[in-house]
Amino acid sequence: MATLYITSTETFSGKSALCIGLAKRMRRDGLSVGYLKPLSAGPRLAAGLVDEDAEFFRQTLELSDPIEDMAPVGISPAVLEQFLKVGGADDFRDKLWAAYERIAKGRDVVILEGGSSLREGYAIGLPSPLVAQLLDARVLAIIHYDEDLQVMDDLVAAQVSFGDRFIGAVLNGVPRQRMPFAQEVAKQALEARGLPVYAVLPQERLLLSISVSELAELLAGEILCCADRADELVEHLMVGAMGVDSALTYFRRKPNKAVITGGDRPDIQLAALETSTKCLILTGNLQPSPIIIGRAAEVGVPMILVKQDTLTAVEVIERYFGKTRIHQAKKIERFEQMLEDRFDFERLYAALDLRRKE
Amino acid sequence: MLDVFSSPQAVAVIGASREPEKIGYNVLHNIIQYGYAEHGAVYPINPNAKEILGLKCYPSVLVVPGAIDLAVIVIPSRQVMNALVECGEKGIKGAVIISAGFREMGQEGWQREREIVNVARRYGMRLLGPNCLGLIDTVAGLNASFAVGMPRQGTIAFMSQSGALCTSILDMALADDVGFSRFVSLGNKADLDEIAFIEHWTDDPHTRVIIAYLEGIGDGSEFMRVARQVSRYKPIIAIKAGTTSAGSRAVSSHTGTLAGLERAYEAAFRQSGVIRARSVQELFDFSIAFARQPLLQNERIAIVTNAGGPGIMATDACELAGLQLAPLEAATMAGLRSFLPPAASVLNPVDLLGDALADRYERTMRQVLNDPNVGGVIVIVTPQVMTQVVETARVVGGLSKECNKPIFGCFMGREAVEQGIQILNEHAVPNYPVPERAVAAMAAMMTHRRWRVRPAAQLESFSVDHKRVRHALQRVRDEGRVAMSDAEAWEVLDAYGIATPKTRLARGPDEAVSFAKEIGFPVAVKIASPDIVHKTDVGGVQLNVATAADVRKAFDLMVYRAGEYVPDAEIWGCLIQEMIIGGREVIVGMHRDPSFGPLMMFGLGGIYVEALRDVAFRIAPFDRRDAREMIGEIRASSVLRGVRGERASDLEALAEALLRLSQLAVDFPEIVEFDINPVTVFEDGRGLVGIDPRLILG
Repeated sequence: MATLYITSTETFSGKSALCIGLAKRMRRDGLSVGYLKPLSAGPRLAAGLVDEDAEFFRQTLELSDPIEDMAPVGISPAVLEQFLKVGGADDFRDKLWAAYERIAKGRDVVILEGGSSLREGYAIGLPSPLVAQLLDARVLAIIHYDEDLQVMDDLVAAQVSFGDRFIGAVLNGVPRQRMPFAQEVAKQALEARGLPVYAVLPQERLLLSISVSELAELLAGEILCCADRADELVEHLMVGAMGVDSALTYFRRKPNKAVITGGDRPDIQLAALETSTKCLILTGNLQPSPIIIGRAAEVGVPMILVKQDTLTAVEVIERYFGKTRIHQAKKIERFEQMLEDRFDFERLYAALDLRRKE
Repeated sequence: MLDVFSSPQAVAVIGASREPEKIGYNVLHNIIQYGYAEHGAVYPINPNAKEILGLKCYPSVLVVPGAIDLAVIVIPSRQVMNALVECGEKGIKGAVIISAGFREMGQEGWQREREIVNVARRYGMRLLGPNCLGLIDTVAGLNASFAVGMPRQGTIAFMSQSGALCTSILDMALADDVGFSRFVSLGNKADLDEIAFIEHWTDDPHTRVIIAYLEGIGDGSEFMRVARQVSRYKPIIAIKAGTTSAGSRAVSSHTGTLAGLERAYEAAFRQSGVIRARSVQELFDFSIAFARQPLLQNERIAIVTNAGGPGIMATDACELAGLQLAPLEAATMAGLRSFLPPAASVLNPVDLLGDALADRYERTMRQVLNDPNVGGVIVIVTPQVMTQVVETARVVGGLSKECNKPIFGCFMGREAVEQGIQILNEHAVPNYPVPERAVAAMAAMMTHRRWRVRPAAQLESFSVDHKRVRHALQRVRDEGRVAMSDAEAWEVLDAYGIATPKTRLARGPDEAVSFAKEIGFPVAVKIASPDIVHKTDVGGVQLNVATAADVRKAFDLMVYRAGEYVPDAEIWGCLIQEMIIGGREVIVGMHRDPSFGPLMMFGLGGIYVEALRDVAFRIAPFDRRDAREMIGEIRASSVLRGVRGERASDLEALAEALLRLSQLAVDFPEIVEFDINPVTVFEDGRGLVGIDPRLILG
C-alpha cells in the first residue's frame, strides 16, 4: 500500500489537477485509489460547507468514503480560536490517523492532497513534514513556474523540507518560451542533484480558463439565453467600448472569449457575435434588445446581464482568470491528456513500489 | 420568376377584416379602391365573414374556386405558418406577409421566421416581408399595402428596408408628381431581398431606374455581382443608412444586423456602379433625372441662366462635382452674339440677363444644344417682373422632346414659378429649386455614364505557393492561436511573390548574434510576439544595430521592455532582420467584411497611418485598373509619383502587390485580417519590400 502526498508551494499550482489526474490513471491501471485531504481551511468551512476539493474528488471518482474521512481536519476560524485558547494538537493528529486508517483499508494507493505552501499546518502542530511522517507517505511536489529562479528555489526548498520522503517534482504552467529552459537546463540540473522531475507541463490556455457559469456567478449576473452552453470555457476577456468600425477587427484577435460591453450597444454585441465568442456580458443592468438576444440564441452564445459597470466587472473577472479550480470535465480531460503525453508514470510507480494490475 | 408580385391575375387577402381600424380592412380597401378589382380577381379570406367590402369572403384559400397567384397575409404572426401551408397546398407562388412579430421580436420571432421560410421553400413559394408595408404596382394597378394613397404610374421602381419611410416617400411623391412603376416594402427580408428585386426589375420594360433605401445588405458579394451587371443597363440608386457610428448602433437596434462599414459600402457601390444618394431628397432628385431624361453622353455641361449669381453657384457646384463646363464652339458663340444683348455673356455659363423672355431662352438653348461640346444643359430661371415663366417652361419642355441630351430645369422660387414647374413636369423635364441640386443630379448621371463606358474588369491570376501558406496557417491553428505575427507571416508574403527582407527568429541572444552575422550588419532587432501589435509603442524595435555586442544588448532590452509593457504577452524572442534603407512607406491591409468579403486597403504608411488615415479601399477581387486607381486616390499619391525633383516610386510593382495580396485574401477565406505596415516602395523599377506583416485567422 503506497501513500502519495502531493504538495505545492503556492495556490493554483495544479495540485488538485495532479491528484485527480494521477488517481484516474492509477484506477485505469487497475489500482484501487483512496483520497484524503489532511488539512482543510478557507471561507467555505466558516460557512459550514464541506471542503470543495474533497467533495469534487468524491464525485469525480465516485468514492463511497464519508466526506468527514476525506477531509478530517477542518481549521475554520472558530476551530483555530479554540485551539489557540486551549490547544488540542493531539486531537487533530488522532482524528487524522483514524480517518487515514479507514480510507487506506483495502486500497492500493492513498493520495493525500497537501497544502498550498510549505509552511501550512505549523500553527496547529500538523506541519506537512510531520503529516508525511505520520502517515508514512512519499512526497511529490508540484511547482508552478513564475520565474527561473523562483521555480528552482521552490523545488530545492521542498526537497529540503521533506528530506528522504521527497521523491520528486512536477513543473507546471511553464510558458512556451521557457520550455526549453525547463526541460533542458532545469530538469538536468535537478536530476543531477538527485531530484527526479516526473513531468514538465507547459502553460495551457484551456486550464487557465473560466466557465460561463462561473463568470455569471462571480458577477451575480442573469443568464438571458443559451443557459445550456454555460459550461463552455472562456480563455480571454475583451472589452467592447470602441466604435463599431474597429470592433470587428479587434474582436477577431482572440478566440474563445468573453466580451464585456454595455447593454445598450447592439452594434458591438453583433460584432462580437460575428467572431469566436463564448459569451457576452452586458453591463449596467441595461436589457439588450430582444432582436439581439434572438441573434445570440441563434448562434448559441449565452448573454449574461450584470448590474456592475464595465470597469468593475473587468476587475472582478481579471482577479479570477487563471485562478479557477480544475473542477470542469473539459479541463480534467485536457490535464489527463497532458499527463499521458509527458508524465513518467513508470518512474513514479517504481518510486512507490507499485505495480500495474491489468 | 417574381411575376406574381408584379402582375398577379388573382390576389387573396388572408386576414381581410370588416373593421375599418384593422390593417386587414385597409389592405383590402386599397386593392379595391385603386382599381385592381376591375380586371383581377380579389378574394378576401376570413373564416368569420361572408362578405367584406362587397366581395365574397372565404374561410380559406383552399375553398376558393379558381387559381390564386398572390396572397397578402395580415394575420397574427403565430397563425402565419398554417396559412402559408394552405397557400402552398393551393399552389400560390407568392406571398406578401405584412404581419409583424417575427425576427424583430426576438428569439421566438427568429424561430417563427425560419419556419415560414422553410414552408415557403417546401412549396416553391416566394415571400416578401414579413413585417412590411406591402407592395404597390402601378402597372398592374395593384395596391396591396396599408399605405395611404397610390402613386401615379411612372418609370421608377422603389424598394425600401423601412416600411414607415415608404409612407412618407409615397406622400412626397404624390405632392411632387413623381411616378413609380413598382413600390416594394422589403420588411425583414426573410426570403426576397434587394438582390432579388434588382434582378427582377432588370428586364422590366416599365422601369427605367431602380432606387432603394437600404440599412444592410445580407450577401454583399452576390449583391455586387448582380448590381455590377444590371447597372450597365439600368441605373441603380441607393441610400444606405447607418453610415456613422451612432447610426450603426441604430441600424443594429432596428434590424438586428450589423450596419456594416461605411467604407465597405462605398467601395462596393463604386465597384458595382450603384449611385449613392445621401438623403431622401437626393434619392428623389436623382430618380427623376434618370426617369425622365435621356442619359448623359458627354460630361461637359452648359448652364443657361437669366441671373448671374445662380449661374456662378451652378458653376462652382459643377467643379466640385467633377463636371466640366463645356467650352462653347466659336460658331455657337458667334450665333449667340448675333441675337443676345451686348451685356449678355456668351461664355459658359451663358447669362441671358434678367430681362430675358421666352424667345431669348429658346434661341439660346437651340444654339447651345446644337454645340457638339455640350452634353447636357441646366436652365436657370429666376422670376423677374418680366419673366415669362409659363412660356419659358413650354419652350424648355418642347426642346427637351426634340433632343437627346438631358435638360434640367432650375426654376428658382416657389409661388411665381409654380405653374412653370407643372408644365416642366408635364414635359418630363425634372426641375430643381436650386442650382446645386440640379448639378448633383447631373453628376449622378455622369457617374452612371462613366460606369457604362468602363471596360469590364480583367482579373489576373498569379502563380503562387498555396501549399506553403496552407502549412503555415495550419501550424498556427494547431497551436490554438489565431494571430500570426511577422515572425511567421513573412512566409505567406514570400509564397505570394511579395519580397521580404531577410528575417530570422532568434529565441535567445546567442542565436540573435549568429543570425545577425549571417544576414550582415547592420540589422534591425524587433520583438517577436503574437500579442504585441504596435512594436514601436512598446520600444520593441531597434534599427541599425551594428555590432554583435549591440545585438545582444538589443535582444535583452526588447525582451525586458516587452515584459514590462505587455506582461501577459507570449514572447517568442526577437526577429533579426536585414535593414531596409530608403524608399517610401505605404500600408496595405485587408479586412474581411462579413457581407462583402475582402476589403483591401491601401494608404500612406508608417506609424502615423492611424492618425492621418490617408487610405483608399476596394473590395477584392479587382483588376489592375482598380489597383492603379486606388493608388491614385490617396491624398499623398502625388508624393508617390514624385514631387520636388524626387523620383517616382515603383507604382507598377505596387499595383501588382495589391493584386497578389487580393488573391491571397480570395484564395484563403480563413484569413480575416492582414496588414503590412510598412510596405517600402523603392524607385520606379526597383520594386518593393513588405516589412511588417500581420495576419489573423477566423
